Amino acid sequence: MKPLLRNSRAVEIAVPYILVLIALALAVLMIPGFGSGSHLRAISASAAYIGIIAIGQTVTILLGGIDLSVAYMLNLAAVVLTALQAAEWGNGGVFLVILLGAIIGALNGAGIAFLNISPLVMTLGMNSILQGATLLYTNGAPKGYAPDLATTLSTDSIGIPVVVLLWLGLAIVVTVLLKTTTFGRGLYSVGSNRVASMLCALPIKPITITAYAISGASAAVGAVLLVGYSGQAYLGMGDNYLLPSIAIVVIGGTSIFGGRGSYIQTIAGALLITLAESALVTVHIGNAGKEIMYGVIILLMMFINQLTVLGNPGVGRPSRWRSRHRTGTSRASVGASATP
Amino acid sequence: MIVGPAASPALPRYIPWSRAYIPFALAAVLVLVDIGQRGGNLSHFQILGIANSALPLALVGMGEAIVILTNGIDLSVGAIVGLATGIVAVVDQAAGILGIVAALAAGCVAGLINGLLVSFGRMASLIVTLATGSIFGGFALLVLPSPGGVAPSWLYHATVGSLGAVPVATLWLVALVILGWLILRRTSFGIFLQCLGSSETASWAAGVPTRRTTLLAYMSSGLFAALAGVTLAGLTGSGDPNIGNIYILNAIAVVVVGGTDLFGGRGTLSGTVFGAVVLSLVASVLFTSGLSTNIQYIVTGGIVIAALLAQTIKFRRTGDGFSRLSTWFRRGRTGRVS
Repeated sequence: MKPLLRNSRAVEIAVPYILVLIALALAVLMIPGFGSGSHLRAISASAAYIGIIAIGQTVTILLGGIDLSVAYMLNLAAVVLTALQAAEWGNGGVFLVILLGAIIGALNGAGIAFLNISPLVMTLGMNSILQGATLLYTNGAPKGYAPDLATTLSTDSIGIPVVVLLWLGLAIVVTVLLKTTTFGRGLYSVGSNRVASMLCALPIKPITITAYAISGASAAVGAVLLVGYSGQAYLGMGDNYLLPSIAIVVIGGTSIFGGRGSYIQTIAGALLITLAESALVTVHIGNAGKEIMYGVIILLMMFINQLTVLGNPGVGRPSRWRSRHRTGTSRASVGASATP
Repeated sequence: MIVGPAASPALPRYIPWSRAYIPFALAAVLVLVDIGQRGGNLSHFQILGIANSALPLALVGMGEAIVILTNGIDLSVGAIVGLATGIVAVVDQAAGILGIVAALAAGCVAGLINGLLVSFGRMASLIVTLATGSIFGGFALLVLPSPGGVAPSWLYHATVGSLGAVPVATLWLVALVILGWLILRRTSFGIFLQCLGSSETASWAAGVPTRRTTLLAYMSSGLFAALAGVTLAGLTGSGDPNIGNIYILNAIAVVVVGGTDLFGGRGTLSGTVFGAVVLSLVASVLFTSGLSTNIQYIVTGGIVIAALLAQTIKFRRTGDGFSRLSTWFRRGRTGRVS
């Protein structure tokens, strides 16, 4: 199935943002009081948390991988951060924790790059290991409280919430990193065709390790913000961010098979899902309804993305229709040509 | 046409089984370690505990393995488990077996939806099941908003009680090993599964009903997840819409430890059962050795990574679905493969 719209980067980026605008317009029209200045600030702030956590997910998915260790990467970083604060580290702990996230992420990347372990299992196993580490470290009861820097970053506001400004800054950095540096170009290249990239002598291993280190660091930044928001760390605080972080990347139209998409699209995904969530809260749909709508939105967005820009996913889902329509082959002739 | 040994010289049929050897050996070693730690006597109660925690894990893992064999993934199993426990606990006990039938039917329908979206909608299975997992989780909350309800008491005896000295769960596990072997080695569906995982295009060209097989794979996954939910309802005596959450990632872990290739096409369902036994033995061994139970997560994560590492090194050259497809054709034509 070919996409309806002409494939261009502008269209890819425009589609999710147009949907954000449509959703916003619908919500403003149908729900009284929706879309006031303070309301929009609150929505953008809560989109910022998930958006920042999804930086890493965007980068690893563009690489053709995935990071399932986000949940306990975040939780470990959070408990370490508050413990460092209790040990009088102050704001220095924030940077140390982000470094810790990057190092653990790099370990993920090293396992994937050097040992050839599938990203799914490597990060899944790492998540379990980090869960154990978190429990051992805290012994079930996280100590300490949030450092000032974390509180400032996540709760202060200068007209617009600081966290939104931070998100904007990080978004610019990530976009520049992805679009203009050799690392970014290499990332897209490896994501769209690993073997070809290898034949082109691209440094696949360093790229992989860097990508997962970025993912670890972004989870740690998310931890800093969440700790700042709630004032403390608690066990299981990352559990609610793993699947949404994957969902918003995909909702934005980034291909789950890698090589296509951008962080700009992920921002739209984050805005869309937060908008939908807050709209559902105002109509009192309840927890069950919220979950159901959440799933329906993901499916709907997948469908729209496939219809408009992505077409049918290429890798892993062989294009039997394409081969039939383009070359007029039948099942029999594909079989004949496949037989040596 | 008579196919003699000369016509099929390079079909060592025992090789696919070697994928099940590692989890089996690992389970055996862990049992010995466990017995050693307990000073040589493994009580009935302890076997009961291990088997009871392995059974739901093995059931979810079986379903997940069937999907992974087709080179897909099913993240909605956790929600289906929760939905099934909810249905069993909510339906009136007087209705007898009706609650269980309803739970299994719900699992099948859930799997059917996944399968339709993946095979006919041609969407990525990871995203489809992520989304439907959320939807099924919502329905689980609608059925049973908070943990509670009462599961029929005979369900406890039928799933995790004990029959004389033998825990019923071990009997179910043995039945699962046999069932897994039967599905994968003695049905066309099982062979199609492995073909599909090796190459969907080539399978389609070879006449494998790819859509029907995909659909059936996701339906089986839903059914097995619902069975796990029924078992859990029997074990806990009540329902919990959120009980399935831990099974999402554990199901994948069990499949990997069980020796199935994550990219499909190669693996065993019986190995998955052993994988589940290994993971619950790890918990038991760590518990009896007096180490902090928190280490359990670290060890489990290490085992999962190590199991995959062992696969990438060891099993590159084992037979895939296509060699089995040709075996199946020959068996079909001549009645036997010599």
